[in-house]
Amino acid sequence: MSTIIRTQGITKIYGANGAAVHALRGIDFAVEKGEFVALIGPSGSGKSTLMAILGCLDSPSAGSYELDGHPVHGLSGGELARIRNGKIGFVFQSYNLLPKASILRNVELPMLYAGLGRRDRRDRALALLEKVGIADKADKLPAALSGGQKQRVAVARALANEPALLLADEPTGALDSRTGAEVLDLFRELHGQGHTLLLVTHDPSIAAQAERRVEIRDGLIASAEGAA
Amino acid sequence: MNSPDAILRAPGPSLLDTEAPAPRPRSRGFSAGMLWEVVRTGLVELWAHKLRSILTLTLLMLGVFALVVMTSVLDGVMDKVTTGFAGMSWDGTVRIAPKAPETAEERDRFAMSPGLRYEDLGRLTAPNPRVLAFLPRAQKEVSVRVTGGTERTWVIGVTSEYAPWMNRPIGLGRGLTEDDQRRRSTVAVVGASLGAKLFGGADPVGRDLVVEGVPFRIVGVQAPGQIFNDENYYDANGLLIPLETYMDRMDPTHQLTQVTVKLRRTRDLGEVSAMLLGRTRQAHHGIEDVEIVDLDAEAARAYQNFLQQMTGWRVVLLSLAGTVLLVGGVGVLSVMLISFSDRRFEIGLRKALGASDHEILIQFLLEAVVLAAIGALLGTVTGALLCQALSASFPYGLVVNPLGLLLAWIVALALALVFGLYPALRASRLSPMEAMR
Ligand SMILES: Nc1ncnc2c1ncn2[C@@H]1O[C@H](COP(=O)(O)OP(=O)(O)OP(=O)(O)O)[C@@H](O)[C@H]1O
Ligand SMILES: [Mg+2]
Repeated sequence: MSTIIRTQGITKIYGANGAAVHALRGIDFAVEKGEFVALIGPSGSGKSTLMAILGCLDSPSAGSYELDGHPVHGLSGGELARIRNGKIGFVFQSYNLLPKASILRNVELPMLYAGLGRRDRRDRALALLEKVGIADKADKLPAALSGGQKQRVAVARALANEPALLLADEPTGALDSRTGAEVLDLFRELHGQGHTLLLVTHDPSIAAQAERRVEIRDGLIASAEGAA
Repeated sequence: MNSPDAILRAPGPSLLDTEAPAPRPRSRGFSAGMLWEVVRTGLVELWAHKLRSILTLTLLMLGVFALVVMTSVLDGVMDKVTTGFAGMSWDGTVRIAPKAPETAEERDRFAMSPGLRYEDLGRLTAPNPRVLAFLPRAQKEVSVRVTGGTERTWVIGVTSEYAPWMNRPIGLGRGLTEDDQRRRSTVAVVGASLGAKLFGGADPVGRDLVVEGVPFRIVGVQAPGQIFNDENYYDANGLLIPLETYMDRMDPTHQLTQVTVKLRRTRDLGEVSAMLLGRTRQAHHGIEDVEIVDLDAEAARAYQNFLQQMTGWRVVLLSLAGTVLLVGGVGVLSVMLISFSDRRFEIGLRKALGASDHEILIQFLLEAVVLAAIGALLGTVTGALLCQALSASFPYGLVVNPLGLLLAWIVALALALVFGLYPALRASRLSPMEAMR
């Protein structure tokens, strides 16, 4: 099995000098291809900070990060954009859909930046919406959808360019438990299909469904359990 | 809501299968799809913030409108005046006319002279190799009677050579002839404006009119033309009759208002002027009560003066239009800056989904350009409409000056790029995390 995420001594310091916040203080961490890992920990422990670094949305203050065998450190802005576009599918707690664009165009967006043609984008976005069960909402604006439906759109969008890694920062955090469970089922489905999944959650019942749980406390890995 | 099982069992290609990721084309540059996405996003943004869009669009529109209309009108005025100067046929021309006395002494002295009269012509217009034509002219204000009523106008005595040399073509009928002069015929050629005033649309040729009790037969009508000086105005609004008829019937004192002299070569001007002055002085008992005006030089001076004024106007008008456009550009800047801070989140999200810095940069620049282009288009349309409306008052109509149009578009788009650059750069440099926070 090959390793998709490998970090060593990752630290993240926000601010400077007196006001500096040490959000991460040396994270050594690995995820294998095809794994389903839950990242847990108390509020403010650094989970979102780590996810942003793993998703190439932010860079660590120190330490190394290898994604799919390639070091991320030192890549140009353009190369990072390509990694975010093609290798990573990010699902946010607050869906993060473009409010003025239709559901279809929201899902097409990563494919647009991938340089996919109009027809291909449309066909694939429709197929993805079909898969997540909301193809009938393709022409609606995000405001017309429920929270669960929005998160399904976000998942479809994250899958747009067939990423090697799916990152989800509290994807069920804004949903009621029933809808949250449905979205989680979708993630488990994706895992069943072979997707690598890293998911942040506060909910122990959700964390329990992952193959492995990693706990962060105070910017450090506190414990890891489950099959590796 | 579908159950997860339904998703599993859903037909179609295995989209959720990562084992065999299909290689997909990824164009490096800015694709047509991206262009459309950007233009569309730009339009949606403009539409979503109508008030600020309209303000900026109005400024841009006014700037382009002003540039287009001003350059076109300046062109039209240039055309008009240049045609006017050409129509005066004042090249190589001098005029000899009675001089107004400047002092009491001069007045007394001039009174001893008979003045510039028909009788002077015998001596004055004796053939000279340097002169092409002598064109005497006498004029007075009269009232004419036609079947319709009475009209105040001018009756003008000229020779048959006058109309061809002075560029007064005949529109209907015929012009005056030497024969008319010899026979002292009571025939008249009416000016185009007078003809229209007296007879409306009807053909005046063959009709009669009475000038100071003398019946005249109309034999021709002048073609309508440009009015660019007094003489031309009188000709268009008066009656041309044979000089000899004028002397007999209109003015027993035989005064001439002027003699226009056409030279073979402009450089003979000095000699010819001296010759003319000499000839009149002899006729006027040594009293110099006439003056020579070099119409060519006068026209050239006037034209030069006009060109100078036009340059001044051009500078003033273009800077005005430029200022309006500049304000429009600042409008673009503020719209883009507001848009930039409004849309931090969107920028961050687009970046998180794979937009590169330069794609964001181009998006913002293009939005600015779309804004400017819409403004410029509105300005062009309104400007063209106004030009069309003003068209009637210019000799060759008023067509939109293509150079002005091009200039306006270039300035508008360049301003959009320049003023869009700063917000665009700021947007493109935002890190995705910072932007989405
Ligand atoms: N941009 C920032 N500037 C300064 N401090 C920050 C910034 N982002 C996060 N922090 C701090 O870093 C620490 C870790 O934050 P982070 O968001 O990663 O926690 P978290 O584990 O995701 O918490 P939660 O469960 O509440 O989402 C916190 O103390 C937070 O206040
Ligand atoms: Mg968090």
